[in-house]
Amino acid sequence: MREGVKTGAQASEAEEGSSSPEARVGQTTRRQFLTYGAVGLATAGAAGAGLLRWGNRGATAGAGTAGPRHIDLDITHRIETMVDGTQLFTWMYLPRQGKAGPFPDGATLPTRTLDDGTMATYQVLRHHWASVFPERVIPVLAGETLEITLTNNLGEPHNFAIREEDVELPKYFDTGALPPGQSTTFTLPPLPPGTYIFEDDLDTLPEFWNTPEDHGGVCRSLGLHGVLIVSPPDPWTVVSGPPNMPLLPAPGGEAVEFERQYVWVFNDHDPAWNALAQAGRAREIDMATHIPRYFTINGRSGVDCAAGPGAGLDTRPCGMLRDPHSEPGQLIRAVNVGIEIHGMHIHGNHVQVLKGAPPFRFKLEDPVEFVPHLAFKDVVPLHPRDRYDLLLPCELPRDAATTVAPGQQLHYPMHSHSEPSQTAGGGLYPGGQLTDWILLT
Amino acid sequence: MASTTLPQLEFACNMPKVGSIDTPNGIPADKTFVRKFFSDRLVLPDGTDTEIWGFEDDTSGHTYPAPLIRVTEGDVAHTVMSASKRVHTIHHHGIEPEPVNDGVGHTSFEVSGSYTYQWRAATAGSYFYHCHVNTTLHVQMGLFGALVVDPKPDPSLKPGEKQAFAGGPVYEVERYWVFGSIDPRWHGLNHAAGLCDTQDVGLNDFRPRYVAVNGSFQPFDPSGLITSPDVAVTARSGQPILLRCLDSTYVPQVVVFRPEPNTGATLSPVLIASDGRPFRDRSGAFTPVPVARQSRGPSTVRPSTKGCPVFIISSAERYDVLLNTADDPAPPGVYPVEIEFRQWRHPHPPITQAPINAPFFVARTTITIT
Ligand SMILES: [Cu+2]
Ligand SMILES: [Cu+2]
Repeated sequence: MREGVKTGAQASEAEEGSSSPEARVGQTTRRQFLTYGAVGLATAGAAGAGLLRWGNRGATAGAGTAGPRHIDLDITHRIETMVDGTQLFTWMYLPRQGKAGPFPDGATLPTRTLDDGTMATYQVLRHHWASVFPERVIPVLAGETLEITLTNNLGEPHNFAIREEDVELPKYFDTGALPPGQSTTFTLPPLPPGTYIFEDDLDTLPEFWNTPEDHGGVCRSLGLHGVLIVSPPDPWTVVSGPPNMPLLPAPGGEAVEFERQYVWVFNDHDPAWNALAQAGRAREIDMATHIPRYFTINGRSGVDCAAGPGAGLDTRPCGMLRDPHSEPGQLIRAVNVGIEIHGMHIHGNHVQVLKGAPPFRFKLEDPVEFVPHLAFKDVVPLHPRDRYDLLLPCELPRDAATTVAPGQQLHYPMHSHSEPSQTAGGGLYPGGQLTDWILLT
Repeated sequence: MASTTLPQLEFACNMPKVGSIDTPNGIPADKTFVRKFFSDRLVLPDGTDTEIWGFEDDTSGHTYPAPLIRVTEGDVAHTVMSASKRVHTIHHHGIEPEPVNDGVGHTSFEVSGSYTYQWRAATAGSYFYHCHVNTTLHVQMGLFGALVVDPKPDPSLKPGEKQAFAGGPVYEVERYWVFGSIDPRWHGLNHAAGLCDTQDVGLNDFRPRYVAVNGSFQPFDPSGLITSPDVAVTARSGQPILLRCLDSTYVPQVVVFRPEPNTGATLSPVLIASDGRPFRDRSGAFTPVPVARQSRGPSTVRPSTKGCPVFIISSAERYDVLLNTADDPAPPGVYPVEIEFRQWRHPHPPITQAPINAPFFVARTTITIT
């Protein structure tokens, strides 16, 4: 029943194939480690030499050499099947090429496909096996120009914005409202390296919707969202720093090396909202009515994230045992595009918070969430629009009483500890925001 | 819509289950804890009562939450869980053993008889333990407790002094504040409610109406205080206090340290650790983080927290708070501490029952400095 056996085998093959010095050129030679707690950090200075490019490590592909990359996104709808079989009408920014095509341009889809066909689209960064992303992720390299043509195929205005939670802060980017049937072409602004949510945030504007209680999220949660990853020049690093601050590179940030990267997108659905959207009445949605019944990670729940047969590689980080003092762990970019507060609890290892969320407020005058810089946590609170860069060290489970035998696949869950999120349709535990990660000893 | 072949149904219904089995690789324990399932009634502050489930040991009797588990760094611990007919587990939250001792059904097994969870406490700090079967329901019903790992005693400490972790600051007075809340609508449900069918049992919708610290409920009285000795604190000025805080609910709490009402003096708490890990700087040195003072102005339902140290704790997080140290003694007085229980965004219970920010959505206690 457990699909993880397959995942582990795949990962092992990939591990062998890319752990040779040739395959990992650049990482072994320029790596320097500081000892911080139990995790090695490569210094920013050390990361500067011999810049690597996605797809052509050390070659010329990437920023500025082949003109801007271009992708077409259609704002449209689709039907998604929840873990109990319920079908929900959702929205999305659909890449024009569709599921089978490259998204973004230049990405190569994995050659392996699961036979059940239920797995979400995922992609591997060009020629780099180690990044397994769900759909809705746009990776760009710092300095790279990405041009997007956005077409609104829905019946009401929508936009494409990148912003922080705090409505008083200036947005990073906003196309403005795009009327039904219209297109716009724009170039993403240069952004500091990091993990961003792009979304339809028009419901934060009173002229478009019922004035929401606070910061909106209706369109985002209904599906108009995605994750923009801006990598530093060395894409196998992530810049650590204090909680994200708008328009400022993180002071004191340093490049932290990772081996693989994953994206976990947490969302929640109140089917009454989906029904209103399907009826063309999304503007009538009142934030205060939200009673979510489905809770997803990368669009899937429960068995479809954790144990197959629909479980994808994208929800299940997998790694060989690492010496946390000298070997990089797995990067997990966790974002909450939903309406409610979630909290990711990981079993087996604590994660290191490399970069925290923006200070969250229930209301503008509320206290900020305390997000320590470089802390080790087993619960990471995820408020709506929160974004975290987390390092999973893949170290031995430190509280095992006896020696952990080599050659095992240890499965550990990760789930939201806001426990109503562990249900589907009001029950069916564990059918919500739950997945596994796999430690190969 | 749903059929018996739904993969999620098979996943949920067919968790591996055992009766009573031996722990693989069992070794002698330094500390053994017995945790037996029980069910009982709990009296709530409005005089009603509700069904709860809990774990008891041989001497604790029926408590809510379950008794503290306390070990020393390096100890091999055995937690002997007896389930009493229906399946349960114990997950030692933040403790990281191999999966067979992690207490999660789908990555190991659920237990209908008795199983001894074996683990070795590697890292001093504040932890949590709870049942991980139908967790949404079972933790709400009361199958949880606090867990502390102490560092090995430092012989250089003076009598009465303790540390939360090796090399950390000393404390003399300690409380483990377990924030809890009860949604009575859930408390008549079956153990397996919502597990093996697609019936809507409402476990997606948590609307707590009673709030507690360490199982002592906030009275339904705007000026009421929780005065239990395991919650309220008394210490001499400069006698360091460690408050371990745990959110055992499914929504955040905001912890507000109010000024002394007569003198206006304020506390200056610092956070020293979270989730069983001290805060450290890049060199590895311990670095406390001051609890930020807030600028929130008055609202219609809550007094201003302007100038008050405030922090938020989310579901299952732990924060260790240190205050009144010898270096930064608090002036004598009685300092109110308020714990505001937040909710998800969905509609709150009827205004006559439990408006948000009504007094009984704030738990209140005091720190008395003599
Ligand atoms: Cu249980
Ligand atoms: Cu837990």
